[in-house]
Amino acid sequence: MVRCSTGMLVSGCLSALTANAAADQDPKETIRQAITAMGGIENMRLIRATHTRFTSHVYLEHGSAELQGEIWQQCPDRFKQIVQINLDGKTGTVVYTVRGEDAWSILSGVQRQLDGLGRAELCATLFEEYVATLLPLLEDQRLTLTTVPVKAVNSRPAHGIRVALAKLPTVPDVTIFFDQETHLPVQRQRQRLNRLREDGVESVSEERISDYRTIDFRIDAEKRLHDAGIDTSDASLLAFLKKQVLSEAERARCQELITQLGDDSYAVRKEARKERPCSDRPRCHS
Amino acid sequence: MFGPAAVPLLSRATTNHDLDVSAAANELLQKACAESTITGPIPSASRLLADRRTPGATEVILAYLPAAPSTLLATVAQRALLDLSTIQGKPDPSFERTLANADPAVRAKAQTALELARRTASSNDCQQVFPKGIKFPFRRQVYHDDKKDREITVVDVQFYSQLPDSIFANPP
Repeated sequence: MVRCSTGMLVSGCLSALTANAAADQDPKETIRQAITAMGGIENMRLIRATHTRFTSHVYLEHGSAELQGEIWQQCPDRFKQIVQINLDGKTGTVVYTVRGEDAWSILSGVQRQLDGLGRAELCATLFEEYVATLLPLLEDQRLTLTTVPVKAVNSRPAHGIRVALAKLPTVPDVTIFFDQETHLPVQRQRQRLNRLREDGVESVSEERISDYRTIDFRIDAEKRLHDAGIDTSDASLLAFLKKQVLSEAERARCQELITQLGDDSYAVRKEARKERPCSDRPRCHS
Repeated sequence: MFGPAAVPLLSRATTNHDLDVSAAANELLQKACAESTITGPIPSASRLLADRRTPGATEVILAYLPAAPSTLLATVAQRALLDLSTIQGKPDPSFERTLANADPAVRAKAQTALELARRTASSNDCQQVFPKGIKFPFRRQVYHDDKKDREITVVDVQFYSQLPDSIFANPP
């Protein structure tokens, strides 16, 4: 309660101090600053789709669940989420896909076409992700941007921009808050379409965004190679890639092992499988 | 390890009339293909070699290209060659020399691959992109009506110019 009151007080002071400045700022200028902070417009233009792997901790009414999954996303209208759920020792997989006007889920192998509020909520999620890529806020003429009052996010003042999709009022507006100092997006919020609070007030989903890291494919690639037990020195990488090309002798040995997989003799079959032609290369030199 | 290098041979073996061979080949193929993914060590190695412009990288990637076990890995190798072929937007003389000295068969394959890579780079085909200096949020906390619903931690992110259509295909 005290934390809530303090938060409201901080928020109120910040709003009073910065409201005029925020109202004066062109929303597109806020977006440009954010794009620069996130790596620049040229870099952002290169990225049209993402593949993300994640882990998640979900709070349930009685307990919690651990999730892991991946999201393939190509804005504005393609999205696929594969989630593996671990609940009380039981595991299951859920897939959600949006492809243009189509949306479906697959739960325990059973596919179900999504319609009504389920589909609308999934499409609203996709719209939220679309506007979060920021570039459309400068380029998509269907979007209307409005500045909203500054508020505190993580006790720091944040500019807010409300984004509405003209001509499609069924898609809920998304409000993005940008840290006033770093200019990075720190919070998003929108109405939830498939839930209504008990008091009849619209339900709100809010996402706090943090732990920004600079993506460096070199570091990522080196980590992957280290994880695979491969040294990342120039000489080692050259040797590793050279090893991926089979010599004639290796091809012949590999083919021989594959043929032996179906040998009449159980002992030969067993030995061939033991040698595993595609996973134990050094033996193939022998 | 043969690893992904054995994929073409194993693929052929999956249609073998001998059920023992085809079943075992299928099983081994699954394992080999798991190493052929975009996040596997081969794309990482070829990207690093191209990015560092390691001497000898062109020869090694040229030799690897015809042996690439999948379109995905071939595309990565083509892209690495394309990057090595120019320096600051101009043709790299050392690349040109390496190409000129290569075996005629390899040279012909490399030229075809480069042409393909240039076309891919200028088209909307699926292609991983490596922008430098992008900031990406690795943590998200979701609240529904002020009540914490879930925490999400990003483990890995990859960027693309476009994704293959098959990813979003409706299963039959």
